[in-house]
Amino acid sequence: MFSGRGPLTIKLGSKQVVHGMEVGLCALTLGSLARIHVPPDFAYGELGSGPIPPSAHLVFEVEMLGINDRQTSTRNSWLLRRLLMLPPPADLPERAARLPGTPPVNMPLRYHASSPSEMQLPPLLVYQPERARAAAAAAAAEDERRFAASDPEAIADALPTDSPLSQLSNLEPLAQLPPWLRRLRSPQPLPTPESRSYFAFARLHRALLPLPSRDAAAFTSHTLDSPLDSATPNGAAGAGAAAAPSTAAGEDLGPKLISGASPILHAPYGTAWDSRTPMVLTGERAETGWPAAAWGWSFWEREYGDQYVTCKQRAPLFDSDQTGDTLIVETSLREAMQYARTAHLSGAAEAGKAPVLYMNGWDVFEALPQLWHPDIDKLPNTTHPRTVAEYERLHAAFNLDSVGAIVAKARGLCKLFAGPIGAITRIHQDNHDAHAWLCNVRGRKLYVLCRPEDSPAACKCSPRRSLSSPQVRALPARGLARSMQVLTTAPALLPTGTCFAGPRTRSKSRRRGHSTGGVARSTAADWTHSTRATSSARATAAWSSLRQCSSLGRPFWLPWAGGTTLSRSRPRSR
Amino acid sequence: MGWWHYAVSLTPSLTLMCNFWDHANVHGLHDTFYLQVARAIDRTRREARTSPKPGNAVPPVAEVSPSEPIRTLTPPLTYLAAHKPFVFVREAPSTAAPMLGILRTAQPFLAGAVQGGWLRSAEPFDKGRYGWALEDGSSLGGLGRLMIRAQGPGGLPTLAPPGQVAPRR
Repeated sequence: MFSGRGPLTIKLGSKQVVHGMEVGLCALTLGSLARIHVPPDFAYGELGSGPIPPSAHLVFEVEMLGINDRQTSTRNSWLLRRLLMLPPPADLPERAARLPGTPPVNMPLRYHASSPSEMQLPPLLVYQPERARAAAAAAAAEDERRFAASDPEAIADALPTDSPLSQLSNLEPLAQLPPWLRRLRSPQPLPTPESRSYFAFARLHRALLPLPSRDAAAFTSHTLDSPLDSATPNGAAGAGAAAAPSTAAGEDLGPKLISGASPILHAPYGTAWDSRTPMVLTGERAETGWPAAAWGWSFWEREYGDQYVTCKQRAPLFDSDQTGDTLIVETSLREAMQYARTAHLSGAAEAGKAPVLYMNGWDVFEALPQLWHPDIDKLPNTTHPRTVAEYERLHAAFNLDSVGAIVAKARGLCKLFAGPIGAITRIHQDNHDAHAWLCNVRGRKLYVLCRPEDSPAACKCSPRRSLSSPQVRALPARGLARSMQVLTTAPALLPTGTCFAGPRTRSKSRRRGHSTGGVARSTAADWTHSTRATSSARATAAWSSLRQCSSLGRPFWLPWAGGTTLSRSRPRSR
Repeated sequence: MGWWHYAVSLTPSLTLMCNFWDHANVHGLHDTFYLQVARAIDRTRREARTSPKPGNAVPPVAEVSPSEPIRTLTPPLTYLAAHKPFVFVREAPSTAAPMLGILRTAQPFLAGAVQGGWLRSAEPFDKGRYGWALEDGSSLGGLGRLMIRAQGPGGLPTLAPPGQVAPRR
């Protein structure tokens, strides 16, 4: 941290600084910028000291430059200071005085940015002081309760006061609304069951409302209003437009969202998987007690909120991104989760001016090995992985010490992702020809899968490299469009992934009134998300079509700037 | 070759992902393992050269003479790794140069230039850096041919358009 004369080294517990400042410092992570307000009870009290008057509130502005032997980069510290130097609220002492105990800490996120436009971004998250953390935990619990409510009266009670849905005289439709829609707060009108936009939305999220045929036809026309139409046979679009969308359970909406897209195989849990073809697992897991099913938002925030994570503007990152044009935020898991849950509610997000940051590929079991369970990575009767057995064989063949190493390798293959609305996984292949399953523990995703045989010739060569932008643009548009497989991963529909499997427990899914998430599995060939990846105008176009199909010029529920982010990304390899 | 995939969150989302290998793709796991082995070997050899210990032989070095001309291959030629279990790919035409990666046996390598028995990749091999593979390992204790020309009409598809001159690095 800095003093007026330069960096100041403090040994915690040595009473070099006032107690309140020590408490505040303990709440910071490496690289944090913070304004620590210390009430007099935690500083010099009623007597004061030297130039410090009696009962003085102290405000320290600090940057955590190092902790123990770890130092932080100061490359962008000028930007951090710019963010921090915003004047404190005029009523800060009064507000602080109402918070007995631990002094509050307001901590803007640390930014890695080099683009001038990103300098203008406001702090996305605010670090919570200890007491505020408790309040946040209580709010999260309440949020979960509201999120899970299925009784119309309870839903109405839980609605935000500014929600137009609270004005409805008939509460029954509330129970039909997608749970996350109920909790939206927006200065703009929310859709109602009578509105066309709501209809499209409801259909998008499948079978939430029975709809008259005239509305179904309207939805279809929106669905097929896709930039990819020109690249697909006319017959496909015509046939799609003539048919009303089905709401049968397990249906893949992909072909309806993107003309020419092929459906993807859906099968119940326990179905044997053909590793050449992606599959979505539907229904409920036969076995109970899969630990990750309970790992929702509040779990991470409450139990492991202090974990250090990074959120990236582009994910996965490729070599060419590491030139300073990608925003990377270092933060705590708590803040990342809160950001993911609420970023779309910000004015900047609505205006499309905020970056969409994605906590992607967090090595959760390396950070928290105590959470590991031997069943975490299993899909009984569906997959038959040889990962551990093969590692053991190779270690034995090379006479390598395998104590602990094999389990560590297995743990390292599982990653956690947390993203707000609009967070994008850029089109890529997994490394080392690895299969993957992805499970939406919470939330919904849209997946677009493209067949490996439609890869351009360049990526079939060795050494396998990432595609360059010209190579992507040179992809045969018709071929790529035909090969797309789209999944809308509402928990009730299709969970995520290339081999997707649903994580939810039987009891929870019933309580929430919808079916389980699914597990998707695919033969995606990428492990570290580092090689052979690229941005794709095709994927952007696919996403654009989804946006249109929802008839949403309204930014409040589609406030993402994802398409922009994707188009800005550059190809690269690592 | 795996599926290309892209995803976007429609709602705030928490996703758990797991990579794995089964009988169909176990070769990918072998690739990762041998890459780790190669890195360990490279590190050991580098330490043996920089901090030789009494009684231990210093690994031989094969490298290009600075006066050796570089010859571009137009169009690029496809080679295959012939040595088991892998061939090193390095930043410069020298076995003392930093390692960029490996080529598993029979893995193709598109060469865009040749210098003193070393093949340079036609495209950046790793992190924007071009890779060099030694064609013949006779000078390294009789390893024999490490890389061989791919046979067949036209070989494998080329990365660089015909006529392109490989950049000098």
